[in-house]
Amino acid sequence: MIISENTDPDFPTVWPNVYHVIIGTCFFVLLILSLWVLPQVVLGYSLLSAPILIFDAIFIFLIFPLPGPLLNKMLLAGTGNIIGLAWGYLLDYLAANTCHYFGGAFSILYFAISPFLQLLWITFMWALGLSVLAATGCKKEGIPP
Amino acid sequence: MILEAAFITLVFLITVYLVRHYVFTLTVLYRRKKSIYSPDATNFQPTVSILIPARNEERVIGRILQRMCELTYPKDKLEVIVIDDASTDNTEQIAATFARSSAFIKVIQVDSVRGGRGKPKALNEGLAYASGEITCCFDADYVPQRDIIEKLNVPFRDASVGAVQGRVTVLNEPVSLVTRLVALERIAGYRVDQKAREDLGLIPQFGGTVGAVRTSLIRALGGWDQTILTEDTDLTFRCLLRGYKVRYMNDAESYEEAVEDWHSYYRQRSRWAKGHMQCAFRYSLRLVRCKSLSFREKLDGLLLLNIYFVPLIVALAWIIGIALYFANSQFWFQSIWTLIPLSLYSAMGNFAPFFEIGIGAYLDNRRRIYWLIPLLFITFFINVVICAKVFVELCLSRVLGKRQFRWEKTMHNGYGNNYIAYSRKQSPRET
Repeated sequence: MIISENTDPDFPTVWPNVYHVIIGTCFFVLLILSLWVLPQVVLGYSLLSAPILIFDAIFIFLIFPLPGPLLNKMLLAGTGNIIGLAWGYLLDYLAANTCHYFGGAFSILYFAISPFLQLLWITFMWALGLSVLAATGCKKEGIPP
Repeated sequence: MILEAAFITLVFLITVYLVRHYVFTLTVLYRRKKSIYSPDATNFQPTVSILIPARNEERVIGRILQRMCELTYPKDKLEVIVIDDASTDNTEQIAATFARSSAFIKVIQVDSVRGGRGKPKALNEGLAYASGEITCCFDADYVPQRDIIEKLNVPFRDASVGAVQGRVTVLNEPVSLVTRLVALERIAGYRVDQKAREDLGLIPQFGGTVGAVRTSLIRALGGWDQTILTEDTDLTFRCLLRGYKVRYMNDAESYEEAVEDWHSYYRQRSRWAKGHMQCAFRYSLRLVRCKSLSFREKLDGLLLLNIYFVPLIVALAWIIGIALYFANSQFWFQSIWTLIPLSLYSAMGNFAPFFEIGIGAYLDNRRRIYWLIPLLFITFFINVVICAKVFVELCLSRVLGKRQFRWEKTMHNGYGNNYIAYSRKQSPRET
């Protein structure tokens, strides 16, 4: 930790990167189509879920406008969607099995804590994204770790 | 039907706080204002009294008094008043040593009969001796910047400004998980929350320490209120209702020794929650009726006053939501239920919603602290327990007519000294 004085006036102004937001939006439209339309045709059901939509919205509007390489942002967003998908499957599988073996009461428990459990991966991925962008920014500006 | 109405109301309130957090964070991120302080602005130098209440602070009192000697503000315009609040350790002796070598430092002793009744009482004891035009307050465990007085004084050029708050940063951050999480909360609270309020012309909160107030104003208000556990929040609203403004100076930084274990965290937050709720009960209606404040100032003031109800609201919405889902699951309900995770995302904790914290750390050029953000769920659940307990206690005390609350003092062990030495070696920017 470094004690620094008068840090605020020196900090450069940040403008939202609209260009990245537009590209990010297109990227997510493609992603959503591939999770919704394609599986619907091939598998007969959609892979899209509310937590993935929330994550995508957060990433488009809160991570993409920040300074940083577009490729990093898209890689992080893609990873986040894969993790979200896997996380959702894991939870559903766990819930189905728990309810099967221990009774329907567990469905209440699952329903109650699922927003919290879903929020864990969303927050984790968002924090990771911010961390990567901050580290890149600091390195670029020559700020010591 | 009643449950459904309650659920919709709670979700609405959560959404209001969610919008507030996003407005604050995006304001700080994209609508930055240049600081009104410049190192050349030294022509405004009112006389200043610094109050340092200290009760059993032998491990840290020497550190802050050493820093007082290093302040760049002219010593002939400065007086430092240490209020030894019936200490049973060597606090008084250490302070007296400094007082002997520096004429601008005074030590006031409060005996065991009058002392030990909390910080507001100690501050009032010190205020009686204050002769400066501006009165500053610092807790004994704080380490302010050397030019902090110059920075805190700048807004007082405007006669309508009654109080100015500076920024608090955690000094002993690497000590434990608790100190790291508190550091995150502090980043959000000051770097984002307070700064946004200042930039948007809303109501920055006077934090009781690292703050300055006009001596004439605090005397006219009758000093600090000893019946409230958060005398700082109380003072903020008394200033506003008197027609004075409260300003925030992000440049005026001071380092604090944060609580290091969960027990201390619980006790400190309980006191804050209780004091804040006391203020909410006392000032919410008065704030709405106040004619000198604009609509958005009133709205911001109300949201600030009721911030400690947020963990309760979220928990209640969650419980009612589950009950409704299994009792009567309809389409509209399903839609609102999906809002809950998103709302939680931005309405957790007291001053610590994730987005604010993340962006605050980002603006502070932090690199690694982000991995702790998901762990703020822990503090959220602790805050739910604290706020529920405190709310019940307050309601009971109102019903039973028992309104005396004990001041729980936070103990400091002085471990922060290690980090000052470390920082001096590491940072070429330390002046």
